[in-house]
Amino acid sequence: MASDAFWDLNLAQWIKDEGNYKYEPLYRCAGFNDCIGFMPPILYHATAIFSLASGLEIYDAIYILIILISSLSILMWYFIIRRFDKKIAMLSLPLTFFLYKMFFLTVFTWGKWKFITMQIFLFAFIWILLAPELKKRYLLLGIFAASVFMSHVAEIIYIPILAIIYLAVTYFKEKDTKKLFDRSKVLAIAAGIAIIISSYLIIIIIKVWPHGPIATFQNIAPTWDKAVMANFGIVVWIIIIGALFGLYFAFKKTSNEVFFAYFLAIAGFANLIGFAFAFHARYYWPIYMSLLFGIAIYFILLLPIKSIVKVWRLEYTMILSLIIAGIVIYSIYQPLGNDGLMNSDRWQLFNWIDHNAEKDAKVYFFYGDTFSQNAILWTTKRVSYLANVGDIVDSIKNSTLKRYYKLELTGPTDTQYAYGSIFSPKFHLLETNQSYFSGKSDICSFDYYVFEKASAQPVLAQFNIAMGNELLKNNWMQLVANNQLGFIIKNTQPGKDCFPKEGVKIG
Amino acid sequence: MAKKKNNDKTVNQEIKQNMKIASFVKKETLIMSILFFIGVFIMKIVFYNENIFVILRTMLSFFWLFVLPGFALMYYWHEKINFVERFLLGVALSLAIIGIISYYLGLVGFNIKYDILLLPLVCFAVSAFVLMRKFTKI
Repeated sequence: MASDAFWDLNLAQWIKDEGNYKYEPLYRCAGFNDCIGFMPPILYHATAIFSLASGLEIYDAIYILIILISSLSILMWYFIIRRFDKKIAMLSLPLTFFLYKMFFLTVFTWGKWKFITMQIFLFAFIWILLAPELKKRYLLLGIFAASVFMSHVAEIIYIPILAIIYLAVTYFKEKDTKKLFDRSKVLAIAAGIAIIISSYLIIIIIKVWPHGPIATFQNIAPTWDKAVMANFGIVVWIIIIGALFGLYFAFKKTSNEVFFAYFLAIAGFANLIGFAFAFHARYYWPIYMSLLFGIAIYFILLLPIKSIVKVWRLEYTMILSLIIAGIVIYSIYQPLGNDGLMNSDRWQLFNWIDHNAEKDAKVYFFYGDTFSQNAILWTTKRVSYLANVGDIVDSIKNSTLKRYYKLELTGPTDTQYAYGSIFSPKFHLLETNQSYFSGKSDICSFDYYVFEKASAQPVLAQFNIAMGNELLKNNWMQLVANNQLGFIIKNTQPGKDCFPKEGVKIG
Repeated sequence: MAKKKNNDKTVNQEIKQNMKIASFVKKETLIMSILFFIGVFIMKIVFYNENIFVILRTMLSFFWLFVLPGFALMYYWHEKINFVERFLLGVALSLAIIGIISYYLGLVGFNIKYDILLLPLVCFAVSAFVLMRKFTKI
């Protein structure tokens, strides 16, 4: 699991503990207890309630929920395609297994869980959009559009685009101005409902996220850790063939479903024209592009076979789909390699702090291989300070253990620790002296110190051990937890002179 | 006499309609129960080391919170959407409603632990009310 996962886990845990998401957790907000809760809340609330009802721990509840939601989303997409063509829908399914291949798989393992939650609402929106026969469907459209926004904000942009595609395609198909007007009216009412439902979060986005991620607008080429078309391997050619054949369905049969598939697939490239957050869409390419895959298989495989076999039944298509799915699963299956950011020893240490340290304790983290993904530190549920690696490396170069290291208070600075009214928020990050959040700090002023004894860079682990031993020379410093990976020291007299001001020379 | 005959006819129609609704509900309850046990079965295979009661409680919670409320509300459109589709859309609707309402209730100081019971019950009540009005109109 990566940092995003711990971000989500910690927020869901906070809501479970607190009973609401009015404020950010104190330990995520630099020790302030009045920071406005600014994240889209659906996943967190659903997880917290599910955890309370089922008795499962948050980390189990969220994973089960995510797996169920993603599986049901795939089924939902299948039923959307099915409205277009049953055979192609069946043939589309095998590509969805690519969701479990690197780097698409990182949508689960690295914790893009809000994005996964958003998908089920997006597909539900599309489904209802394609069902004009439903009376009062604006209610559902409004609820699902609001839910997209309140589960993963960035993708709200899809909703008006999908609606415009729908209106344009159906108009060109039917050439009926009255129907166009009626449908526009339905969508306008739905938009109104969506705005009312999500109004609180809309205000937060406008007022509280002034320098947050939504303001990011830059061209970002996919990096090594992002899903790219090459992850499909040779199958990418089948998808391209499907995209070409799809043009026939799109323009000859004016099929909304195909246009939607094109749009969702292309949306993943929008990072190249400035929409930095579009890379999320890439993780779901195996689903978005499955229709194109199904169309390709239909033309390449099914039509030639059908011309040989005189009587073709739907069951045969199902068998063909199962065979292709078997081949796909066989070729992509790879067991997961490692624990990610958290392993049992680290979990044990962090849990020790969670269960034993005072609620307002200040915890000082020295170097850890995974600590740069600092959301994991919030697992301790304490305000966490992380030592600057560069400063540590400098002190190693000088063979000196120092009393003052550069530190960073770990927390999401996206909203600059906004507090007060959502209509006219104030910002702790702007109002408080910057030395509170970062800069050189006296090691003796902290309550707990976390050291890791093992590292991919042994010299940093040796530094941690030496630093810990030096602190333990003071009789008011206690070794309170220790395992194979690391140890925790408690400072029973914070502020007391615990280290020579000039530092300690090491051999 | 003619008025009485008309009344009898209306009552008969009502009884017939009620019986039709009852048989429909019975059929769907049966399918829903089967889906529930399929879910339990799959969970038991995946988490084979886990106690069956933990799995039962997990699935019960999932159905109670994220299947039944939305499914009940989707009943309004049952003539146009089949069971499986209503089931899937119902999950999305449940997630949306539980997630959003519990967020807003939390903002006004209502603890989420009460939402576990309250929100599904409210969904059932709304669904029953809407359906009653719909059938009364018919």
